[in-house]
Amino acid sequence: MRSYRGSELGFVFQEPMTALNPVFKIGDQIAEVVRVHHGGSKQEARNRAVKMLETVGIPSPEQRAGEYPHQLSGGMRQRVVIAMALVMNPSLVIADEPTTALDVTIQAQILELLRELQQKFGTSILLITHDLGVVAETVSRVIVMYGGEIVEEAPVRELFAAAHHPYTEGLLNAMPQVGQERERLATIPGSVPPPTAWPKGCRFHDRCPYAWNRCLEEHPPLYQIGAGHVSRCHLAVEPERRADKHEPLVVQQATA
Amino acid sequence: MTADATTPLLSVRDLKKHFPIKKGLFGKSNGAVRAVDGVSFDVNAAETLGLVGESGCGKSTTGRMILRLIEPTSGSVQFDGVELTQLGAREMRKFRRRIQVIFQDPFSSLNPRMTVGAIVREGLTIHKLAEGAAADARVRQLLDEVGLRAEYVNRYPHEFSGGQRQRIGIARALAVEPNFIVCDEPVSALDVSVQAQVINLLQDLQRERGLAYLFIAHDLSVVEHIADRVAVMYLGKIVELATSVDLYREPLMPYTQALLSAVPIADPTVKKSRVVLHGDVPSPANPPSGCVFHPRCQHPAKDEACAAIVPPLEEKAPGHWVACIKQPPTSVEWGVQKAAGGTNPPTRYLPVIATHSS
Repeated sequence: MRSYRGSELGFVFQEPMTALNPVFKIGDQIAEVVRVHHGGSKQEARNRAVKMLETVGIPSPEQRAGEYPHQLSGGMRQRVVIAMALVMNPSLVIADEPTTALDVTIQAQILELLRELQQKFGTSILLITHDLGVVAETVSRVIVMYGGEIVEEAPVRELFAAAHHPYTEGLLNAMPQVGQERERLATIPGSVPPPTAWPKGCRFHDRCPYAWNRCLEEHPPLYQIGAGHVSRCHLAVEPERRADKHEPLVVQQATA
Repeated sequence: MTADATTPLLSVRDLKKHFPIKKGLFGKSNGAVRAVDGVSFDVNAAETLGLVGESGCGKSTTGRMILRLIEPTSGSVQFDGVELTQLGAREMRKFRRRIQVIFQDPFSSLNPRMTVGAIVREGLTIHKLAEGAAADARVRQLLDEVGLRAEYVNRYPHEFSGGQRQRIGIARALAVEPNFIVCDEPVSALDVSVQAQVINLLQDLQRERGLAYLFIAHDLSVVEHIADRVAVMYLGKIVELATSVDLYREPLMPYTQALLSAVPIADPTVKKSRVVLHGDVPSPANPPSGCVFHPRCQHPAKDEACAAIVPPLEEKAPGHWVACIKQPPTSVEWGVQKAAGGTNPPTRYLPVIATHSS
């Protein structure tokens, strides 16, 4: 496993502050990955680290390689983390909320960089995020998770044009968007139950505006909706229920 | 700064906060971090002013100075005609009843050892608004208003989710019946679905009670949704101030343009041309000369004058204030700009930014 980590699998963490070791120079931290997986001399590894820093767009990489993480800004640190993930040219990079801790203008830079690097090296990226805007702009296929399981999977265009699962639908409606005027935001009532107390049947049923008896009893499988599009919702087999929109159970209980 | 003649509820003028940088054991002052450097704005009754900018631009510091949780270095904060910066502790406490705050992090802003009831009730006791059974009834009523069950009074904050905790924070702020609430990133720590619940609640409360908000956030789409007017901050200064509609439709300050174009759009069919800013925000300890944004600016008329002249925040269109000497009209005349090394006369620059699907 350890031989795969770092060489075939790269990982980009959410917090560039904590993902780097504060007491080592960034150049050495990247070179360490090269030394472990590739061997070779220290000088060789260092050269490769400097080259990688240049690739991820760090100005004067030669000098920066000798600096410590605290001397860099958040965006720069995230570039270092990306450099570290990509230095062995892995076939898959897992990016766990790579831009959540960054400001929008820096986020735009980092997403641009990930796209460029993907084209250059042909890397696959698994991007974990809660920001649907980032999803729409960067990915080709989306998996939506709720309550510890996959509830919908679709190509990105199809997901935004024709979301099937009521949770996905709710998420898309709840998002305020620049340039879109709305008097009120749609909400998903209630909150995600703790992982120790998933409801019986469909895990989303008490917050769902379409839920009926079947959802309370029967845990839905992943139904095939279209090409590459699956959804964990009984609406797939009883689509007429979509017409019967009502207050979700959590609201009914709160007012009862 | 608004056209109508009524006096604003809150009026901030030339507010500054410089944190000294100390060196050595005896703290010889060695320069200063200009966290907030001369900020002026008004907030009218029942209005929401959005304050946006990237981290470190001084927006939270501004909010805290209004409450005097941080003492301003200089400048004035007038609330309902009274100068808050000159008040003693006792008088200030009276005003804290009318100015409340909702913090960003619902996990650290509630005392974990106090019950929800005690948290909401504290303000009532301090300001002697209600006692005994009357206070209990009021607490229950407040919880109900923010959408929490009244039975929750005896529970502790850790028993609640992030969204519910933020509701507790809102109930605590409302308990003393304020006119004005500083909302410091109130929804940044929440999930999208819960964020929408809290935003709707804040809007409902505003409508019912005529509250004024200073809504501090870095999420531009949330601000557009909730704010009547928006101020954009960069490196401790307001660089653009306009109604929400104008600002999002026609951003004039090149920084605002870049900021808006960087917001990802949740629509995979939109292909937009993006203004990508290079580099990072400079350190407020050593801000660039002239216009603080000039090293990263993409305005085609940018020249030497931008590095020399500090652009005044001036009204370019009715109610639309912008700090840029290259966007006409400007009070910094061309002759003055040329004398400062300017080579390009001001020209209107409005890059096409697709912000919604066509």
